[in-house]
Amino acid sequence: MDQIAFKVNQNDNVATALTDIGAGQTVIIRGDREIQKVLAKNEIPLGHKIAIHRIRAGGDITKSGLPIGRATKDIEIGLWVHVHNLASKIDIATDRSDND
Amino acid sequence: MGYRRENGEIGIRNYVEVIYTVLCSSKVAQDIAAGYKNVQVFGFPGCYENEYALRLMAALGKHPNVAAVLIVGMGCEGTEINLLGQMISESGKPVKILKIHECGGTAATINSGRRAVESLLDYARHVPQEPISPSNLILGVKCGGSDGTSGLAANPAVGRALDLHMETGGMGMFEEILELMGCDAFLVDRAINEMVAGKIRSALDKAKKWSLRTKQFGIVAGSYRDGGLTTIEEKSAGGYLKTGTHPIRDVIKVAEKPSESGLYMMDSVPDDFDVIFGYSNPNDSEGFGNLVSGGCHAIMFTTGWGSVIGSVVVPLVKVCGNPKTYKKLSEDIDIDAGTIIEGKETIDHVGLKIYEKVISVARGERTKAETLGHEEHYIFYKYQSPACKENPCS
Repeated sequence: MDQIAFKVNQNDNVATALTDIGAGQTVIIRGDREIQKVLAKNEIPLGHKIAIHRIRAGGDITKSGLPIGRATKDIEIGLWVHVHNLASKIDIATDRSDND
Repeated sequence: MGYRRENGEIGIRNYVEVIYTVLCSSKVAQDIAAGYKNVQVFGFPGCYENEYALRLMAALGKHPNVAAVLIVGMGCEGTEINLLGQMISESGKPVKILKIHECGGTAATINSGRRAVESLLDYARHVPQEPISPSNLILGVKCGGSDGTSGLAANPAVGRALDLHMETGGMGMFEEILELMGCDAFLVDRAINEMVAGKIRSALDKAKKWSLRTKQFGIVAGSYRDGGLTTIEEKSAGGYLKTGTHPIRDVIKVAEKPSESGLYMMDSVPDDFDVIFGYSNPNDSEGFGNLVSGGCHAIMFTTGWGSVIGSVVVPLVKVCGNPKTYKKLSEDIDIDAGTIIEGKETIDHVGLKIYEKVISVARGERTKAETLGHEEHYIFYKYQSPACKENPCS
C-alpha cells in the first residue's frame, strides 16, 4: 500500500500523514501539482507531520499557508515534525516536550 | 417539521426542560425528568449567584427548540429563581417553578414536579407544527477531540456545509476564539466592514491576553499531541476551516441572538474584571451552551478522536475525519469524513452529505447522540458583560 502525506498549501514545508508511515518508506506527497516523493526517516503516525523541505533551527514551520511554530532544531527532509523539534511562537507555557 | 412558538420563532425540537438552579436541587430535577421522553435537565450548580450563568440559563430556556420549562430550586440559593422564570416567560412559553423548601422536601417536590412535567408535556403536544425551510435555521459549528485529521477532513467538509447553508440565507455561528490563534488576518479579511474588523481584532487580542494570564492556550496537550497536533497555531489553522468562507457579519457575545441572516463570530472569552473570571471552553459542553444561547437550532460538531457527547436543547451532527476512529465509534458518529483521508470522497462531496444530514435532522431525524440518550450540559461561573453595540466593547 502506498504511504501518502498531504500538503495543504503550496507554501507548506510539512505534509500530514494520511496513513501510518514506517521509517525508511517512500512517501508520496499529494496536494501540489507536482508529486514529490520523500523518504521517511522516522515512523510517522496517521495525522502527524513529515518535513518535506529542509528547515533550519529557528525557521518557521508552515502548514495551511500559516506559520504554526518555529523549528527548535535543524530538520532534515523526511523527519517526523512534532513536540521534539517544533515549538509554538505564541504559547510559551505548554510547548515543552516531555522528552526535553 | 418545525414547531411554531408563542413569540413567532420556530424550533426543530419540542423539549420540556427541567432547570435546576443549584447543585442541591439537581438530583430532584433528575428524578422529576426520569423516564419521560423529550424531557431534559440542565442547570447551574453554584450557590453564589452569577449574572452570566443566569443569562445563559434564560437563553437556553427561551430557545425555540424548547416548548415549556419547569424550574426546580431550593429557595435559598443565590440565583433568583423568580427572575429566571420571568426572563424565560418573556418568550411566551409556559414556565412553572418549584422550590424544595416550599414543597416540603425531596419526595414532595418530585411528586409535584412530575405532575407539572406531565401538564407541560401535554402543552407541548399541542404546539402548532409547520414545514421548516433551511433559511429559518441558525447553525453552529464546533470541534472537539481534534487530531491531525481534523484540519484535513472534518473541518473543511463542515466549512463547505456551512457555506452551503449561508447560501440559503440562513444564519451561522462559531466561537472557540482561543483556538483561532494566528488566524487573525484570515478572519479580519472576511469582516463585512471596518467596524466588524475592529471587533474581531479586539476579541482575538482579548483571547491572547486571557491565555497568557491563565497560562493556557486552548487545550493542546495530551491527546491532541498524540493525534499529531503540535501547537495552538496548528490546531487553530485546522479549526479555522470549519468556519467556511462566508463574510463575517458581526461579533456577538454569549446569549446574544442575532436577527439578520449571515455568519457570526461569538466571543465567549471572559471579560476583564479585576482578575479574569471564568474559563472559556473548559470542555465541549460549555461551548455548545454558548452556541445554543445565541439561538443555534443545531450544531455541526467535528471530531478526530471521536466524541460521544450530545447536548441539551439542540441536536449535534457529529462528523469524524479519522478513518480509524470511525471504525471503532461509528455508533456515535453521524458522518464519516475519514473517506476524505482515504481518498474515497472529496471534501465537497462530504460537505454536501453533512448539510443534507443537518436538514434531515432539522426535519425530525434523530442523531446518533440523541438516539443514545446523550444530553450533556455545562454551565459554570464566568464574568462577561452582556451584548454591547459599540465597536469595540469598552
